[in-house]
Formats: sequence, C-alpha cells, structure tokens
Amino acid sequence: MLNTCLGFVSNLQDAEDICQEVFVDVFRSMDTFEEASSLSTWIYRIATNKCLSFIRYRKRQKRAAFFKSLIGLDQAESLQVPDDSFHPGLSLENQERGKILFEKIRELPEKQQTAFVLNRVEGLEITEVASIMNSNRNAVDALLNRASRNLRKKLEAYYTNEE
Amino acid sequence: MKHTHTNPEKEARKSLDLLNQLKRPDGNPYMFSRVNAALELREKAASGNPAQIWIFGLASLLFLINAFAWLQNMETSRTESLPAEILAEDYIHYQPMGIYEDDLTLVNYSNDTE
Repeated sequence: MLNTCLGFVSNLQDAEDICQEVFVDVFRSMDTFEEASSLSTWIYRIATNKCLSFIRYRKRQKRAAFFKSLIGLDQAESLQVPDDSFHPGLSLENQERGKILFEKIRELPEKQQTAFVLNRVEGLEITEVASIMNSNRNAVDALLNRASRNLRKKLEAYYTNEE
Repeated sequence: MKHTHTNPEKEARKSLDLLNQLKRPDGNPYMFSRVNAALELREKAASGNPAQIWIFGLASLLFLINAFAWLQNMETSRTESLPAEILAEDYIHYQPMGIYEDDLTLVNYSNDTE
C-alpha cells in the first residue's frame, strides 16, 4: 500500500498520511463492502482515488499560489508549495533522477498514471489493474502503451531542454 | 543547476530503468497506532463534546422563548390598536351627521327656562 502511494506522490510523509486515511476509510466503510471484488482490489481502489485527489489538491494549491503571487496578495516565495520528493526505495545518487521521473509520471493523464503506477511501480498484473480500474485487459494494455510513450516523450523533452 | 545531457533518449531510458531498481520501502511501525488515533479522533468528533451539546440546547431554548415572546407581543399590539382604528373610521368616514340630532333632544334645557 505504501509503495503504491509512493508511486503516486513520491514523498514518504504524504504517502504515509494517505495510507492512514485509506485504512481509516476501509475500517469505517467495511460494512458497505459488497464483495463484488476482492478486498485487496477494493483497498487499492480507495488508495488510488485518495492519491489522485491528493495530487489534484496539490495542483490546485500550486495554481492558487501562482495567481496570488500574480495579483500580489502575498509574497510568491512564501506561497510556493514545497517539493520535497524523496523516494525511500531509491538510492541517494538516483534521487534526483527519480524526482524528475515521478514528476513526469504525475503529469500524465489520470487513467494512464493509475495504470502505469499500479503495473510498473506496484507490479500488479494487468488483470488486477483492470479490475481496480473497473476496466478490461485490452483497455489497460492500451493505457499502459500510451503512458510509456508519453512518459518517454516527456522525459526526452525535459532532457533536451536541460541541455 | 544546469546539467549537460549528451543524449536525451539515453537519459530518458536511464530514468525509466529506475523503475526496475525500485525497492519496496519498509512500512511505518507506528502506522497501526496512527490509524487507531485517527479513528478515535473521528469518533470523538462525530459524537460531539457534551458541553457543546448543552450550550447548543440552551441557546435553542432561549431562542424559542424569545421567538414566542415576540409573537405574543405582536399579537397583543395588534388587538390593542384595532378598536381605535375602527372608531376613527366610523367617525370620520361612515357616521352620518343626522344621528347627532337624537343626542341633542336628550339634553335637558330645564335650567335655561328657569
């Protein structure tokens, strides 16, 4: 669970907070679980939704900070959302590269991002990913292909601009 | 800091290869305590503070008493003002002058003749 959340938010503190929220939600809504899917699928689904909501919230925060700094409501530097990405699953020398990689993963459309993280980061089978996403195997396959292609493009564009 | 990357495609591939090197992080040993604490907090918030319930109840009661008193007051002032209006209407607009003649016949003029 923590690994999945880290794949989405790439910050240990945020991932742990989301994990806590997921478990609280699971505990509180256990009565509503209809057993239409397996328990792990249900928990993964809750975790994915929480992570995506968190990312949306962060993006909103950044946008608000930008507009506030534009109209001079507050000092721009005090409104900047700290980007303290640190993935504990990566070695120190790969942290910088990992930060860019996860940043680009977060820029993908939500469906592609979900499929990519669940399959490539968490290591779930495509059929499992499909059931978490309420989709079918072919659709997830297509999403994964598109996600890989887009991610490669984004990374290449980033490294081209860095030159 | 500006980096120099000779081959963007190679760099992108290197970055993507990181996904194969990702290790699963150790879970927080205090997660269970954190979840327990969060659940307790939410239950406490849902049940509400007893003092708050008392304050809310008392405030509601006072509001109801005030509203009742205000309504009563409105009703009383309306009934008190009603006869005066009716009288005013009667005497200004609707009373024919002829009826005062009967009143005049009731006056005793006996003292005047003496």
